[in-house]
Amino acid sequence: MNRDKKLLKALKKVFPKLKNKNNLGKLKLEQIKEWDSLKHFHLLLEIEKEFNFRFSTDSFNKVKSIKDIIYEIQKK
Amino acid sequence: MKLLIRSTSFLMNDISYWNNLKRYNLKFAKYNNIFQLDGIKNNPPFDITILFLQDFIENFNGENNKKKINKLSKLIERKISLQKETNHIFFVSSYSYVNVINSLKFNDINNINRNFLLKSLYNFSKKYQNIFVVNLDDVFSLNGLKNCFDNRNFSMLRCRLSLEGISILATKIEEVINSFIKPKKKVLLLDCDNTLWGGVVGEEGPEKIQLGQDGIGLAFLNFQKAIKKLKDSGIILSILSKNNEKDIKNIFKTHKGMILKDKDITSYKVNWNEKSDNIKNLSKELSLDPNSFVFWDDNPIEREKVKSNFPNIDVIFPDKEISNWSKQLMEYAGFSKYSITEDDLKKTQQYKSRSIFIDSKSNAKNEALFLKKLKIKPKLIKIDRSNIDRAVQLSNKTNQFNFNSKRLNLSDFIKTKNHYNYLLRLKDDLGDHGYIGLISFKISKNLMLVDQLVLSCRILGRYSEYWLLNQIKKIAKSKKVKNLIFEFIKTDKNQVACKFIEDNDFENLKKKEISNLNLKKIFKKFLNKKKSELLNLKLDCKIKYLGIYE
Repeated sequence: MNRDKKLLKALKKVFPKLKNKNNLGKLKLEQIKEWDSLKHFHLLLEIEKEFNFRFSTDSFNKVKSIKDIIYEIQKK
Repeated sequence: MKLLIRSTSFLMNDISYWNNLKRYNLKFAKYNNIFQLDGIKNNPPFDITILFLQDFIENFNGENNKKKINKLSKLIERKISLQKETNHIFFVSSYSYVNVINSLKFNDINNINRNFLLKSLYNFSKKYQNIFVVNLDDVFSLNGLKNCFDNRNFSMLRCRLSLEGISILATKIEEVINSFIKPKKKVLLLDCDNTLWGGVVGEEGPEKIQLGQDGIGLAFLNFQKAIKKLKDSGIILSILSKNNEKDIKNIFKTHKGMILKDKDITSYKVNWNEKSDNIKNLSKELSLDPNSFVFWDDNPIEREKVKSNFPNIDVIFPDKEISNWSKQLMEYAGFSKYSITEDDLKKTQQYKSRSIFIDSKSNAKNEALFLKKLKIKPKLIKIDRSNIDRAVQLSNKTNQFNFNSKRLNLSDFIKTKNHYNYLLRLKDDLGDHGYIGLISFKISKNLMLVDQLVLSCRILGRYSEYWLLNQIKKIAKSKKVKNLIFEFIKTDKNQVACKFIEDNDFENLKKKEISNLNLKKIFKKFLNKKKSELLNLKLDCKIKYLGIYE
């Protein structure tokens, strides 16, 4: 749960209009209306801050959904 | 108000970290476009350039880099000279990880290059009034350069900085802009016991106060050094202390440990009255609004009282650790000034003589006689390169005696045909007061329009405004002018000027007279404000108080 809270916090920071999602795991980033490449990048940076870890350069463009993001976080 | 930010690499312009600057109508120039001038038809008041040295030098070829930096500084100079009315602020980061590796020998060429860029920018800032430089590495170093830069962000996005770095940069820019537009503080009010030194003089005696080379005494000493530095940059110091005046003055005059000396203090309010009453008197004495005061006192009750009586005075809450006070004072942004003129440096002496002046004036039975004895010598001086900065400063900073509060720029003082600008310089037995007044007028078709009449508040009380008005009248006569017209705009702050108008023979021109004289057409360029009133001064009127100057 704590993990979802952190994810939501980061998401809200980048996409303030985003409504509370119950099922974060299924959210694909492209589905968010305001999503673009800079917002994508910003989101990952905010997530880094929340979880105190770093995405590798290589994984930045690979992640497409919250599920992918969670996978990257857990990999560490 | 427009704020333009350019940068040599991407700054993630759209992210929320820039929101603090949105109220300024913030625009980012196209990425990497640090010299483009088009698209900005009206010069923005602030043009901010973020330079990352890493972005335009090849790290391993020193000679090439030198050429590049040379070229860069030439381009910068050209840009500044094309936009004279804009404040150009350069934020420069010379940090590069390559330098960290290569800098074991000082003659390392990259190291020289990085100093070279900063040096040439600092030289510009000396040469041009409208350019300012911030060393970004100093700003970042407080949080660690490592935390502010991110190489991965650069390879992904061409952004040199981390989120933390962006946030620090945005905050610093806001701070710098604020220091330009917020009214600046001019006076520092200081308590004595347990503020300038440890202990209570009245109780323990002057030998026992803590001030000196070690322990808590050193903390107070360093605090005084910081205060002295402010004073040297033109800030006025006043002592506000509940004490016996004799005890306090004795310390300032004789205590060997004191960094602050009697001559540094413009005014003492040492008595047992309420500090708020003392502040009121001080404000009158210095002719400065309490809004421009900053209050430093270790006593929380005194702070609360002052805060509740004068919400606009900045009341500082001193750090619990006295050793941090010096740093706290230096970091306080309310005083910061980016353009210090020689007149600022003369101020302590001038305000001090104003204090003496008010004192003796209230004692003098015959005011006119007293003023005459002072041998006041006013003089009108043409504006030229040596004093134009002061003219701009007077036009922009003076509120109380200002006929229309039009703020003029450097370019407005460049002489054109039938357009005259003069500064008023004043000396008397109490001191050389420097340039304290400004007039600007245009003459066309038998008409003379005075569109700037400004007098620094610290000189009020000598009736030099009457002398100035008489000089204007004299000039009008010598130029064979038929109508002498003044443009007046009432503001919240220029009551002093309003009173002066009531006190002299000004007539408010009616619409019909304005159109009969064809004023709006003749002075089209200068008369555009809706609120402005046009006042006529009869050329044969009598002006008071001139006897003082005979």
